[in-house]
Amino acid sequence: VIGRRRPDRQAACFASRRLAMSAVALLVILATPTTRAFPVSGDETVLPAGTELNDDALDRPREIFTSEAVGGGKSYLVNLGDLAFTAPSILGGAARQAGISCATCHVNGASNPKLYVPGMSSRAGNFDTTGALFNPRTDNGVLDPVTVPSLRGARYLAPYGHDGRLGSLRDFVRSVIVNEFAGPDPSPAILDAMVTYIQDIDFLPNPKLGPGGRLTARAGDAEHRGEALFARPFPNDPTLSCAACHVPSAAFVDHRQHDVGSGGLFKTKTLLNADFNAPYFHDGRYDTYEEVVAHFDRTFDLGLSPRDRRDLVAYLAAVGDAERPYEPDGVDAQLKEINDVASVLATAVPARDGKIIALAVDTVGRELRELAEHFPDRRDTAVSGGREQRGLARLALKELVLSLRRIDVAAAAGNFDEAAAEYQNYRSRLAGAVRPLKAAEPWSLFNPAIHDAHYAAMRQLFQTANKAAARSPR
Amino acid sequence: MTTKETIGQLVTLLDVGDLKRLEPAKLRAKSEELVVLLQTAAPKIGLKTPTLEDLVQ
Repeated sequence: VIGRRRPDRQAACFASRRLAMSAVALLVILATPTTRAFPVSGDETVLPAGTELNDDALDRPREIFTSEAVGGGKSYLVNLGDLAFTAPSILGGAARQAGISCATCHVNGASNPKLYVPGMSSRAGNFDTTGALFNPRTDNGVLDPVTVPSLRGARYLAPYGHDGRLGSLRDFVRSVIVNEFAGPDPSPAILDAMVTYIQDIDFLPNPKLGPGGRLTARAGDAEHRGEALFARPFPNDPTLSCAACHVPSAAFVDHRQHDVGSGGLFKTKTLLNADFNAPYFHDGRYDTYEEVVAHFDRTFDLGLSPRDRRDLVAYLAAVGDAERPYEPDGVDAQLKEINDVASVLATAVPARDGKIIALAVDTVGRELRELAEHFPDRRDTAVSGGREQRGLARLALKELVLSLRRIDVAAAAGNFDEAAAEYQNYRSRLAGAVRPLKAAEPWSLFNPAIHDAHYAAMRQLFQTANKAAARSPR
Repeated sequence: MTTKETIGQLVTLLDVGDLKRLEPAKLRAKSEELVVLLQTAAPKIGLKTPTLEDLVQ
């Protein structure tokens, strides 16, 4: 800090250092996001105590993109959409305050079966989009939660919303941001980007399915028998069958709404990759395919035998399957995601697009800070070993955060050449950060043993704090 | 933006009296801005640019 300690400068140096240390201390304090702790337990955030965001999961749903699957790369628009999808600032009110973004519920473009917000959810995996918490203006006064849908293959799945109320994905995305989460009206550029991103999220491949949505030879006998039952006309109405609505050749949807005895008209859901989309039905009332098949058997008087039911369940499981549905979270996966979304700066800085630069700096900075929290600091007594490596990883990430901030500061001052130079510095620093991050990974929360020890200690800490709070007079 | 102005803005952001009313994103951005300002200012007054490594040790 102090280069040459000359007497006349010592006081200034000391004051400067104290100020810098205070700022850094503030940074360190602020580096712990309010929603990082799982489940949120206490009244320290705007979210109700007991909220579960599942952001400490060790595995994440695999996300594949059409543009990459065909041998290309994600466009600027896809990455910008991904960035906006990850940005709490796109939303408003309590969601923004709590650091919630679209990606909190749609993890890697899929769903979040553990999501639970007391007062807004009736069970894990559903959420009341017309409740008071996130936008009091849309509160309809009843608890009517719906599941978080996976966005895989969304471009094939219009209309949008559980009740299929909007035919346009663009309109639907805007409605979610503005009406459900009280966000500001997004700019046309951001809306375009978010729609482009969502439309690029593909279904995961399923080797049991061939052209036309027919089962391949990899499927077993029960699954093939289930396929026949799926196409068989209903006994009491031969115009109906499972396949008449879940059309196998059309991503297992018919783009229409039906009343299937679940309390109203709801759109036909796709069955592709659905093994990973439980709970089922619009409100998540069923956990398993067995319960779903029993519902249809009961509602439409299908007269299924026990074997028929098992065969249909086997068929649904085969259709809903996927190759590698989850992948372990880790430094490589996190850096790839961060790299992809930060790449918008390569376009936004030369284009002198201050709003996108600010969005990228804030959002990527947040991602970097969250990544830093995966490397427990020296005060975390639940983790032993790798203390130096963890410290270096945290510092590398925090330096990256500052490096990003320099881009924003320069751009905000209209110094776009400087911002471009800072972006190059950021890229170099990021490349240099890979080694310390990988070196610290064995002692990070990406290691299941470290993860479990860390969160067990946190759980105990919360319990102790809650007991103390309960004992103290108010 | 001067250092003094940035500190003033930080003080305003922190002066909420209730943790739930803090605006974490703005506070983070402003605190990062302050560190960047100090790092930029240091060599101009003959100081070595402080780094996080230096300061944490």
